[in-house]
Amino acid sequence: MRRDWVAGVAPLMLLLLFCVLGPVVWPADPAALDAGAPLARPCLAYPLGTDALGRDELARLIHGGRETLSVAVPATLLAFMLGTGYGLIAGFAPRIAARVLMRLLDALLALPSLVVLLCGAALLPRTGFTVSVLIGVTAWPGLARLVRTEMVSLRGRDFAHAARQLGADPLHMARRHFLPNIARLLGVNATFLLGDSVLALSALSFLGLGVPPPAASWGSMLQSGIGLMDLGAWWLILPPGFLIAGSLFAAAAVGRMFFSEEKEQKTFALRWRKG
Amino acid sequence: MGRAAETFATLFFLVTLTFALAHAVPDGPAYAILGLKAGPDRVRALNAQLGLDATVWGQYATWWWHVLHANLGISYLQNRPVVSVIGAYAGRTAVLYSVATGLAVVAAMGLGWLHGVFYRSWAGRVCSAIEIFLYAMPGFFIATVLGMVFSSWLHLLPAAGMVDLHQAAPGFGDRAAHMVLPAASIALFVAPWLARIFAQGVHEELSRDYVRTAQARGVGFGSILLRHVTPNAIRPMVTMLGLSLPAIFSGNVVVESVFDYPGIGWLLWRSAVAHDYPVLVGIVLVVGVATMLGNLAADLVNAWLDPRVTYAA
Amino acid sequence: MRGAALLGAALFFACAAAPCGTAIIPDAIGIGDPASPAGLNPLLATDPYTIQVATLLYRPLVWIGRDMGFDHARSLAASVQALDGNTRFRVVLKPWRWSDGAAVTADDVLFGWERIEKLGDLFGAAGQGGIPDRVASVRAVDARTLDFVLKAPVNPDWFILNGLSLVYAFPRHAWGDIGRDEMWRRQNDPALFAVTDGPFRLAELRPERYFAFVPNPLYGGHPASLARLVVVFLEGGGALHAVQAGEIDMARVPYALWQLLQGTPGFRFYVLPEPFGYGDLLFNQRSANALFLRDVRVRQALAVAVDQAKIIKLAYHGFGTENHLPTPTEPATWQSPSAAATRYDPTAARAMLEAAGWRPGADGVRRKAGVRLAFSVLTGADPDSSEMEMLQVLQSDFGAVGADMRVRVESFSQLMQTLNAGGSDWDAANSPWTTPPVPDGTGVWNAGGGINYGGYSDARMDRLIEDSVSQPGKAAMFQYQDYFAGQLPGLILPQGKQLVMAAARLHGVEEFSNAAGYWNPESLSVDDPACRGATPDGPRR
Repeated sequence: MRRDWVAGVAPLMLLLLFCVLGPVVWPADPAALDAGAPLARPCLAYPLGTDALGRDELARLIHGGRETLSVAVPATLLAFMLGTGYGLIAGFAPRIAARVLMRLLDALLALPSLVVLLCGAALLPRTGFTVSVLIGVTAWPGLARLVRTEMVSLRGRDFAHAARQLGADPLHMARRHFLPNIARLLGVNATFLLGDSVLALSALSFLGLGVPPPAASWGSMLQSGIGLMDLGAWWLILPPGFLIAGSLFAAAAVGRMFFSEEKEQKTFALRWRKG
Repeated sequence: MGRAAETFATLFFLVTLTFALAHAVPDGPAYAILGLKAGPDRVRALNAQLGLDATVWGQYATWWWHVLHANLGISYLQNRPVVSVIGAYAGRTAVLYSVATGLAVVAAMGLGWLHGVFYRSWAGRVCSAIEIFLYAMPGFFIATVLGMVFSSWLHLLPAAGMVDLHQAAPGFGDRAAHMVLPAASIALFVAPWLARIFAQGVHEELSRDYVRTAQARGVGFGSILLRHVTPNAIRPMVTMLGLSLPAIFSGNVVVESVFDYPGIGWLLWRSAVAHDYPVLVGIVLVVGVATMLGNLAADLVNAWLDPRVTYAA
Repeated sequence: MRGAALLGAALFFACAAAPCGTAIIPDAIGIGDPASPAGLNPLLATDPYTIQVATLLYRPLVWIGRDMGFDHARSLAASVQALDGNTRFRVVLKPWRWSDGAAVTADDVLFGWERIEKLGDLFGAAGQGGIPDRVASVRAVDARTLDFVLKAPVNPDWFILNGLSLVYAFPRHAWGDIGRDEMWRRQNDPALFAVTDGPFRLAELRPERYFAFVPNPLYGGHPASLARLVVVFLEGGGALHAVQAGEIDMARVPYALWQLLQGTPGFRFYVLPEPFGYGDLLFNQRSANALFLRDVRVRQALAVAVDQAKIIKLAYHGFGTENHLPTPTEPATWQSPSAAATRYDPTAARAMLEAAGWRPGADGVRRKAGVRLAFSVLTGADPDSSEMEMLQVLQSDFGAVGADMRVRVESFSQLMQTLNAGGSDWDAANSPWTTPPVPDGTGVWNAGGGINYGGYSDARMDRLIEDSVSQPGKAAMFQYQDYFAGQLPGLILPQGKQLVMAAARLHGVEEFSNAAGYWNPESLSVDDPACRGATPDGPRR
């Protein structure tokens, strides 16, 4: 059990440490230009090399991590609240209303989230706040469906019948009986949502539609690395990509910690990657 | 029957949602169309011309009318009907999609067989690690790394586009070469989870009694695998494939942007960057409808594979 | 027998001279950052990108050459005479043909003129060179001669180079009486642009991706050497990646990577002139926040505080020229001889501000009557760009004399919206201008000018600008510039040259683009092993 915990939480912790404590350990200025060393290979002075303008890539990655988290975390919270709320309401609603709500949800789920994200990014003025809200608003339907499905199955269980017989009102039932049961599900999915939000932000930034410069997230750093691929600058491509992948992996690791493989399949099944 | 009604309801919501998107439009695009010298009067005139100054309900009704007549507006930037713009690009994406899905299924089944047969041993764990590793990679990262390795470093495959523009009449070989990297990227993006589901199914099937019975009777392992285990194990993978059509499309968008492949995903990206709202909204509608139909198709395929499956609410 | 030999020789020479090879170039080479052209109709162009591709198909009456003068070889007009005290201009056309065989006649030019009139406010370059507002009438004298009659005398160089370079012949027999809306709708319709009189014809049109052109065999000027020219539209970094991958044949190189890329095998490197225009920090006379920008002494002090040499070194890595006048430096044909070599003098700047009543405050920023000498500069630039680097140098230069400058980043369309609104919510904007071949100030610095976003209004400036376009010669132009140097409605900034890398197989790159970004792709040729009979260097310009 102990080892599972460590394996599950360690990647996420490492990532958070990188982003939060990074500037303390490596205090180089991400915006400082070194005109004499553009595209320098990794060396002692620049452990991850420099970009086309001579900026320290490691400092930029650390800074990029903070940018990424500062957008992804609020987005996750928003998605979590919206998803859980909608799922609970749909779970408790009378039959007709529930079916209407679920059809609306189906319509939302039919749209690939990246498509809606791109639309939103084109329509709204792009700031950290709006991008956060946009990602949150596209991420919640999957969670809502999950919550609602779980609610329906819980409602059908014996203890729910018993409570209803005793005249318990829905709110009371929600708090005392359902929430604890789905707490683990919610907890795991919250970390999945965080991974998804990081991915969605990275995809948006990669396509040039994330938070506008000078904020630089990992996705936009990867994008600018592509133009320089032919000059052999792998240090501009692999580190940001692996960091994004690492976030997804870390989020999934936390999830795997709680569930055996079979249930894992179910919780994975109703969420899918966005890009 | 209930399913049909539900599909219609979902479609209704979809069209309404796209209307909401289409008409949350600020004055911004006027400058994209009119250029640098647009004064406030010209902007107003253009808005009137585009019908953006009627009441919301009026616009909503007009939207339904247009949609039912397959009129999705005129592209701001290309001055052509949105439907013909989308049509021009959709075909190429359909080709890429099919090739990529085919590759993904082949790769997933291959890896899945290996993983499923050797589930508990070290080979199975290696397969599992590969699946997890690929699963964690974002689609655009896979595409970028493939491009970097096979195009920039090894110069084996072209870096971008659909054809070599140096040739006036590029042949099939040129087109095929340009499609390898994009299709492989999408396939690698989709395959890991399919492989995992499939492997799980294979493993479960292999531990059933009928397998042992068949082996005792002397039936070859390969034959058992192909004729009995695979059809049973493949159902969850097909369901997953159906559910993941939206995700494959998202993967498509980023891959098309990395390799400059002129499909719907690329069009979506460029329209978003250039604020070409009619095309954007048109794509949302078209893709939404296509996804729903895809889901329906996947359900039907599954029902065909196993008549015992019924529909839950 | 002799006939056969002659025929054989003729065939051989015909093949030797046949257009051969394909070149793929990204748009906007010679101009600046890439952007898709709106279409192929030069009359609707509000940006140089559209002109770049449209002029492959249609040549105007007057084509601007590499010295920014009248390029007779490539113009539709054989000659232009200024008569009747510069109120009547007689244009004689060359005996060119349309690509469908019909002759290009004065009637076609008249037809083109009528299209300009029909477009009204949709005509992209309205006002430049007096087109169409200063023209009273256009008459066809005979099949190949036209008269442009003006309402008042004009500066002939100005009218010919700025105005007649906007007038094209269009095929009346192919277009019919096409109206304004139809022209707008069909900007991207290949069917409309099938009949051309320029060096190329349209082969393929894929909006947002590429345009492909093939030579027009009936072109009356020097024929193209290429068999196929493709203009692609790629995002900024994409072009550099594509040229190194061999997908395209030419791309701009960012200043920071120039040294690094030198010597890459298979490529040649070129330094092209700065885009024809000038950089400028435009002051908003209507600004509610920075009222001090209306004080000419403050503007002069700010101008003297700028170290242009440092900007050139840091932002353009040495590839640039100092400039203090609203006119391009390369070529400097129209630059007033009183142009100062340098004006950088921070001590003088500080003294001027003191004299104007601005005392240093506790935080280093000067104050007068409680108002801080602080203002913001609007820009649409990318933070990694040279433009942003330049703004940072400005920030530190102004800071050194006690002025607080902030940078406000907006998207390009937001920026245009703000500027066009004519409001008081912005203080200054970084807006480089491209100028027409004769860099007059109409529309920019005269009161009520179409792109006079800052709302500058000065009667003497208006008079000098009017003189510069109505009087012949350069004297009036120089006077306007000298007055500008004292008034400074905008602070002139240096520009950077264009650095280009091209595949070694591509020849003729140096002559291919003039400073205004007008292309002469006839000068391009490629080494292609499939081109038998063509010499390695190909037929030259």
